[in-house]
Amino acid sequence: MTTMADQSQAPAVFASATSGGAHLASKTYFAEAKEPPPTVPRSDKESSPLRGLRIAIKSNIAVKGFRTVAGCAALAAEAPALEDAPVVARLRESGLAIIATTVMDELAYGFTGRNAHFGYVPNPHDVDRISGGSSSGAAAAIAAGMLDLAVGTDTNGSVRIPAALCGVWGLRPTTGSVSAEGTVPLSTTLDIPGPLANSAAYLTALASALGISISAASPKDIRIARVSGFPATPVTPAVAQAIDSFASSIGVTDQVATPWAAAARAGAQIMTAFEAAVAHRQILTDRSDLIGRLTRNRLIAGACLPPDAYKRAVDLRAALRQRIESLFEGHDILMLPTVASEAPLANAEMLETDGIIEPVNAALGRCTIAFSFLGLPALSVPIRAKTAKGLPVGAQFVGRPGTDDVLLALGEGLEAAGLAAAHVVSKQA
Amino acid sequence: MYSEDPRQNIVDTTCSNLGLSLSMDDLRNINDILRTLESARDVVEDWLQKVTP
Repeated sequence: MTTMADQSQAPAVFASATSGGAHLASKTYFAEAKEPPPTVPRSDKESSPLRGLRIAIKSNIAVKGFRTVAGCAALAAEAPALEDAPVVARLRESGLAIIATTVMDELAYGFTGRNAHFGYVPNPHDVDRISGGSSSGAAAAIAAGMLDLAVGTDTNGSVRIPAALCGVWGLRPTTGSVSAEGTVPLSTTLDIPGPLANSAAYLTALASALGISISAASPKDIRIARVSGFPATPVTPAVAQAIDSFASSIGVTDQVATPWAAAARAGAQIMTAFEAAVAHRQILTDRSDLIGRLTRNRLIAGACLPPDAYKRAVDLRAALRQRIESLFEGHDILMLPTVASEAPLANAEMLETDGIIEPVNAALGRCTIAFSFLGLPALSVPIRAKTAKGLPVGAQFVGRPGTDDVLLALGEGLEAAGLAAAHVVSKQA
Repeated sequence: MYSEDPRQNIVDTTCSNLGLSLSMDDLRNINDILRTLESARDVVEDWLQKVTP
């Protein structure tokens, strides 16, 4: 077993991949790794679409025998988990063998893949850029060709954002459809495990293994509308061009404004801050020196919030969830960029998108947060064409509650049509 | 330590309750984060006024 602190023991099979001459070591993406399972006979592979595929789990989800580090030094000394989280147990029942846990933003409280203890997770498409987060290692390892599948968690965008910046498939399931039990919490209301994969077909199979209901019938006459204005704009010119071209290629012309999204984003910020402070109060009081400065300060700020502020966020969420039908204005799916920019440079503090300058973390989460707050399923699709800088762009499709399978079927259709595909930079060395 | 900034007093009290003694830089940083959350709270209230009786 290999830890971040002792990466020299990484199993040779996970040793490295290459991207444009750059060396990508598995230790960059894996918190802990184990020797892979024996080769599965072909006949057994055929019995399950996932059997024999390489899968890892974000390190905030309990995996028996692995430390649930959650990107936090305060948790690094904890004993390995004695039991699997229910979601992991389900995967084992599907014939999957967990080969690693993946690195992440500390306590999942960030969108960058930067970690005060363990550094930033390099993007396989340009190692001078971040992977996005908080499921950073999960997405980056798939993009580096080291994994086929991963399970991350998405509170406010933490599956979709790294999936988009690394050019892989990622789904935030409908809130409550996948058990978050056994997960180090950030927001107990908004947290949910979600699948990432190097193909739409594998994503659907993994979603099914996680317990998401998949209809056998292909969805017909899906009405898709683009989100106009906030939070879909502003975006960088490269993202605008990629999304415009993609929308044109799939014939999406309708538009829907989402004036409620700013309030939903605000509600999610308050809810997350308050619930995170409650969840991690013990660490804050006992081991605050082992929490990164920014994460610690965010937890303290959350602890400063009065309960009434939280209650009003809860009220807002309930009010908006009662209005979902009208918010979609007769459409089945809303479409917008997953992230407003390509992957930022590793040292970037601020991000400019069409003249608007925001802190990197805020800019990365702008397009995803509001939909998490409403508990909606959302799929990040890797658009086939990369930008001029050779970076991936993700298109986000948001459905009504319980329509995860419609989103997944749409993804498979886009992949089959050659309009979307995961960008895997290199096979394992 | 008393400040004329009510928000800073909340931060100071919370840190004291948590048993934390932080630098001025950290206290300012927490104050900034809390200010952002208070702005978010205003946005939530505005919208709630629109959608609830």
